[in-house]
Amino acid sequence: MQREVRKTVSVVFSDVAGSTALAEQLDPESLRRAMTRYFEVARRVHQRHGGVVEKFIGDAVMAVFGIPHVHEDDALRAVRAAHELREEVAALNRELERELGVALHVRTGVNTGLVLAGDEQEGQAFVGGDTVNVAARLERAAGPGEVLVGEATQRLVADAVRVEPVAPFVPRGKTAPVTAFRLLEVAWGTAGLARRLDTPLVGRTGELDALDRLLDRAAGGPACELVTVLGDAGVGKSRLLRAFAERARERALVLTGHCPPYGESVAAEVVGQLVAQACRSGGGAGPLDPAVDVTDPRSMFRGVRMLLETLARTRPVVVLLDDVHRAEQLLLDLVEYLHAFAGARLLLVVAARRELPAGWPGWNGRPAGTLLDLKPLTEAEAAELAAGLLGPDRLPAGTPRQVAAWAEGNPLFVEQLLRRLADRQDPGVPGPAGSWPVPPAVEALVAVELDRLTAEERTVLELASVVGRVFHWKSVAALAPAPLGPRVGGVLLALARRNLVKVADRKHGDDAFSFRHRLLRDAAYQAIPKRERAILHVRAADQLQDEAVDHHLGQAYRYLAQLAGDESPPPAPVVRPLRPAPAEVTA
Amino acid sequence: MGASIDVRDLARAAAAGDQHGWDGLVERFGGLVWSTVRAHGLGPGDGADAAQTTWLLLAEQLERLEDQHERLGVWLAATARRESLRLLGAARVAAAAAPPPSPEPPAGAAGAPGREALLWRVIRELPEHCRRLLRVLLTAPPPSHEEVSAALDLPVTGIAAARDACLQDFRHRMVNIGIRTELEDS
Repeated sequence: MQREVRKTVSVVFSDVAGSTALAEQLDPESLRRAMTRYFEVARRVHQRHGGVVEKFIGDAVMAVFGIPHVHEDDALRAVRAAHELREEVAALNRELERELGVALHVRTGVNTGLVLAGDEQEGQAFVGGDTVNVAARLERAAGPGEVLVGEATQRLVADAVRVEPVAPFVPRGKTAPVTAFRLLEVAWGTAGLARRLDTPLVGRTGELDALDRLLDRAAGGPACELVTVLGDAGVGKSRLLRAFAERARERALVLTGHCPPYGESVAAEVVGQLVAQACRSGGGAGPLDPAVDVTDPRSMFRGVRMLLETLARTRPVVVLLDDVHRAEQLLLDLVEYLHAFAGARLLLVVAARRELPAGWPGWNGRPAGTLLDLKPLTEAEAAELAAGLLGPDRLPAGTPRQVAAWAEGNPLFVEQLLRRLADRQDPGVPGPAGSWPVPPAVEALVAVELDRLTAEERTVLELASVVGRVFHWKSVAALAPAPLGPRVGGVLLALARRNLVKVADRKHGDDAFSFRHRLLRDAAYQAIPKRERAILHVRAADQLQDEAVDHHLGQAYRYLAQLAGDESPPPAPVVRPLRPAPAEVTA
Repeated sequence: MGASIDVRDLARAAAAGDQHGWDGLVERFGGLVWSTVRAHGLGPGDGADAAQTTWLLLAEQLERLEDQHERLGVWLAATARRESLRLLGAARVAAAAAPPPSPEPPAGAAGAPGREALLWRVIRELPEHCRRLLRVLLTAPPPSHEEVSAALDLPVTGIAAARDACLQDFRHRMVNIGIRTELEDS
């Protein structure tokens, strides 16, 4: 079964400037050892951030972030790795200068874009293309010790970096100028695109009431209440936690822990955050008992429990843990342990994406815990949110409603779309909703959801995406390769459990499903290589025999014609009418 | 969505010098103009010239075209066709009539297996009139039949039947190269 997919990755391309001169200066043996040490540093730095060193080309190192698995923050990981590589090479240089009297000057380019990724099991993880070429061109254009970041990358990391623009340049062999930024600084612990958690909360009164009641119960304890807030990426878990924290502070001590996107020991970091806040709270708690050994789970669990019990003697304690789907087993064990053993007036609130129960079966089946399923906002609520984010008079009157419809109730999508529209040169007229670009951060989130699927689930979802937003079991089964056919129903139900698809309205007939969000359908569809897309559309026309036959044949023809080079995108006109009545035109 | 934007409003705004109105027209009809010139066999260079001339004419005449604002797509398609033929005529005088360029497989496909080559052949061997028609019809956003008629000088009433025939031809060619079993084999 084909497992090639089109996906967005970030590429870090580094090369050693002046390596020819270096080769003259050093004995080949010393040079080789110095370069080997550099390669080791590069490999270690990239791996630390989840990158894969794809190849060494002479003295150049190419690392890719997004294979074999994409992360929503691949662009930021790539930029962090590039930045850190620069720092670690500086440290390496201090040694090399001492030992050999030389230093390595590394130039780096970072770029984000579409590639065709192959099946890693067949050793064809990755095929190059323009994304890689541009990264290499950026590297060439960088000065020694500099990191140049491409425009697509910059757009994904804007809030976590300080950059300065460099003059656009046309690399050799290319026709269009490349826009690039010089990387100056990277902020640690900051998301690439910051969430707007400061806006007024829209909706969610039922959820807040439920949390209030749980706090009542815990406060009347001593009892430890546990609630898991599950929801899709961007649906508003963090915003809900923040709103609840504001209310709960009136009658409880609130501690918040936030799981970092990646790193070595998430549990220790989160415990560190909680302890630091506990110390600042002045609630009679000091730091963890010095006898506590944080590397020994039993010792750490007991230490945290006793700390919370001490605090809860004065007033109830609320512990909010966010992004727990990123946590390692140890943190979840700690939560379970506290829930089972803490004899304190304690409310534990765990917020996570829906994949949490998939990773830890039984998490939401536990009888003692409460599950809060956070649904998308209604369209009216999403419109209210959009209007609030826009402020008065920025866009035409209908825009908030159109934005809400596009986002289908996901507040993050609302936020990111408005930001993307505002990025356009003049946000005066947003253009027709159908032509709105998918914000890259949203694209990355959706890609992560697809990437997590098994090969079989992914295939079924892709077949479904060829049929459309709404599709029938039998249509997908008809398109499926023979061995998969009988299993399609089971796979579709598994996809429904993962909330990627849902059972469609009865008006669509029997056994109909629909994608949870239009963007999921589009992402699944666009990940299919065009050649396969064309073939699937022909098969769909052949098998489905419905009124969509013309659509399928047209799509099939379109993609093959594009691949055959028969269709290039239209050039933008260089003219426009002037006012008053044009006597001349700009060119 | 796309269709809900009134072309007349865009044209009126553009005529008044509003950049957004003009951009809206380009977004709506850029694909139509481009597919029209390409369907006439102009390469990327000459095609770009014909397309730019078409937009230049629109910029110059937009105010005077007020009674045609509603059918601006038809006007643009017809103008793009006229400009294409004019350039083609000039090119034929310059060099003895060259056959319209055929799409070549993309670089890298040369050593690809036979199945790949068969796919390119399906596209290349589809009758010229079908490739022209499908190129214009499959433009995004989809043009009206009146616009397609103006772009290719075909009677409006025959477009649906011609499209069906071309798509069926394409389908048969695909089925003939064994596309039905394609995904199961790979």
